[in-house]
Amino acid sequence: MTGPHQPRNEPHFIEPPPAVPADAPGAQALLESVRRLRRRQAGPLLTGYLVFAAISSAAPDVLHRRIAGHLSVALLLLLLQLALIAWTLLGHNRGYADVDAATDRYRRGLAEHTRRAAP
Amino acid sequence: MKWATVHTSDPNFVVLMVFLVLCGLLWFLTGSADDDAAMFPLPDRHGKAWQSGLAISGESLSAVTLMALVGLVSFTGFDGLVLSLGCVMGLVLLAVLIAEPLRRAGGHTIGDALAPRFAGRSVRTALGLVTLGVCLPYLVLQLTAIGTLTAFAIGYTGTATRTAAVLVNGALMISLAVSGGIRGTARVQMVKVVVLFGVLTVVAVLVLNRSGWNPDRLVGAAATRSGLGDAFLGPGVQFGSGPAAVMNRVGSFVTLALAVYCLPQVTMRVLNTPGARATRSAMRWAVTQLVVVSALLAVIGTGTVALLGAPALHAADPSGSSSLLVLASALEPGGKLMSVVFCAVFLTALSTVADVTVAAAGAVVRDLLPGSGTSEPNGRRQERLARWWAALIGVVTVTVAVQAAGWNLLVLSTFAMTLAASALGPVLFYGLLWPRFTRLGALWCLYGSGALTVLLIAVSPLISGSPAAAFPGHDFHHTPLVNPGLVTVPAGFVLGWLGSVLDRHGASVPRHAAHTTVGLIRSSSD
Repeated sequence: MTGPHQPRNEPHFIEPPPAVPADAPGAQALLESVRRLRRRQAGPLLTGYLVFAAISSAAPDVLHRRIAGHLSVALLLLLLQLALIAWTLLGHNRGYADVDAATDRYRRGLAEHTRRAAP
Repeated sequence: MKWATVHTSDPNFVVLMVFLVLCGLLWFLTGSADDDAAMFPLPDRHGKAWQSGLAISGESLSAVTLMALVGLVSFTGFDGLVLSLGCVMGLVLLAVLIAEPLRRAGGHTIGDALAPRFAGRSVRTALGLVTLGVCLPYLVLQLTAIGTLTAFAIGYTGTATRTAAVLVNGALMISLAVSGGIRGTARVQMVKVVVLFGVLTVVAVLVLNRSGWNPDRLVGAAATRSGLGDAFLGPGVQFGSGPAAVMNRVGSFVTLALAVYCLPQVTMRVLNTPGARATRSAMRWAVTQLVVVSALLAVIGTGTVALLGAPALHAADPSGSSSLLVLASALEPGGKLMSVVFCAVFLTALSTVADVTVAAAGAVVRDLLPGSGTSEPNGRRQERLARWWAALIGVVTVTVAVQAAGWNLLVLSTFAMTLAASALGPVLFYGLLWPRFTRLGALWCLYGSGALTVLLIAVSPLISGSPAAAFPGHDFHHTPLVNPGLVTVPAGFVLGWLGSVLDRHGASVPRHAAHTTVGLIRSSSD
């Protein structure tokens, strides 16, 4: 057991990198793809949640109505929210796989660009 | 109704004692390897994403949230389910918006992660202060609640017993934080998630068994025995009706989701995932686990009122926070189930308090103390300081928790969650995702929305003007908002934007772009 007095003497976190490749070819496209992915996922999720909040607050009586058995409109909307969350997380996985591929391509392109530019 | 008495001759007492001994053994488990006991360990690149996921989901479900969820579902029905949805939504927002950029930014605190964006120490100091402002009420809340619950569970509800329970629990939890560090407490968090999942599954299965494995019959019985009828199946019971109720309801929707996504202990766990890409898997694990636990709690909450009825629940505990224990006691009268459930809740409180203490100590040492925030060479000094600060924070919160017996705990939870959602939420969002965010915007947001939160809570019915207020004999409330999040959260975002737009120094957009690009490239080689 390591006592509290024996922490590993190494840097606690990585310092920020130097500002190099943001203006390199493809960097802006890569950043835009990340931003687009974030918008595509967070947009429907937040919209759905806020619509749910608005309906719950503005028209609670409508949500009390039963659809089948004891399943009310409110419970159905709650289940739809869960479905939206599942869909968002699956999309997140797929979307970032594309971004990872684009990042890897960019990294290889950058290495090639640096090699060519070297004297 | 006597439901929770445990005497030394009782098998329940044996279960509790064995459990407390096991909790003591966690002290050894938390410091089992080199670097594991460190307050600021290096990120463990060989760690597993699912382990980080379990720890993150555990952070988002505190003991108070757990007990409140069951009580709220059993007392209000659908409004309790919405509280669960808010917690889940907070984690999903964290997953899709900021988890990966936060991990790429690195460090141990939110201040560490955002420091490279802002020159000087002013933003770091403000972040440290707000983090403490969130953590301290949160700690007092958890300690007070678990102290009261412990006294209740062992069958002695007097002030002396409650004080002793807070002191013993607090000492155990703080020693765990001081000895375990970040990774040690993560291990306890994982144990807690597994234990809690198992115990809740058993209780939910017993509830479904009692209702003949027919969920529709269970919901029907709950609606009838709650005395609410169809109102149990929809929103409106918790806040009532009218414009103030609508504002409080929307405020609670917004506050809860945004608070969970930026709670200091949650972001601390995200910062300690094995790598930026592993953060995605970790977050999927976290959300899935939280959805499953929320579903179990929904079944248990519904079953509580279906099996016992609202009058019995109100008679046992009008606040509803003991509903889970009341149900366990009713499912197996005289058996060990109630003690086992209590042990799971206690473990939840233990891990939450230890983690929040570590997060608060980290904020003090990394963000607030002079000369802090540097990576090296004062690592050993920071380690030592962090442990001392963890102990000091623990002593202060235990002292306040002992005094907090008769307080309205809703004030503490509302303040902590609203401050997190209004100040930390916008700064994390802008700081990680908006290239034009500036130092001035961050300061306006942190101090402006923080002050607004304090002001609106001070003039709310939580403090005065109602029988349940902190000062029921006074009336200086000027707003009907019990939850000011509807005002403070948008104000936080507006102040952050306005400060950045009006800042004549502006922000270095290319620097932010370069930082993001390099982060993406580095994470691709994780």
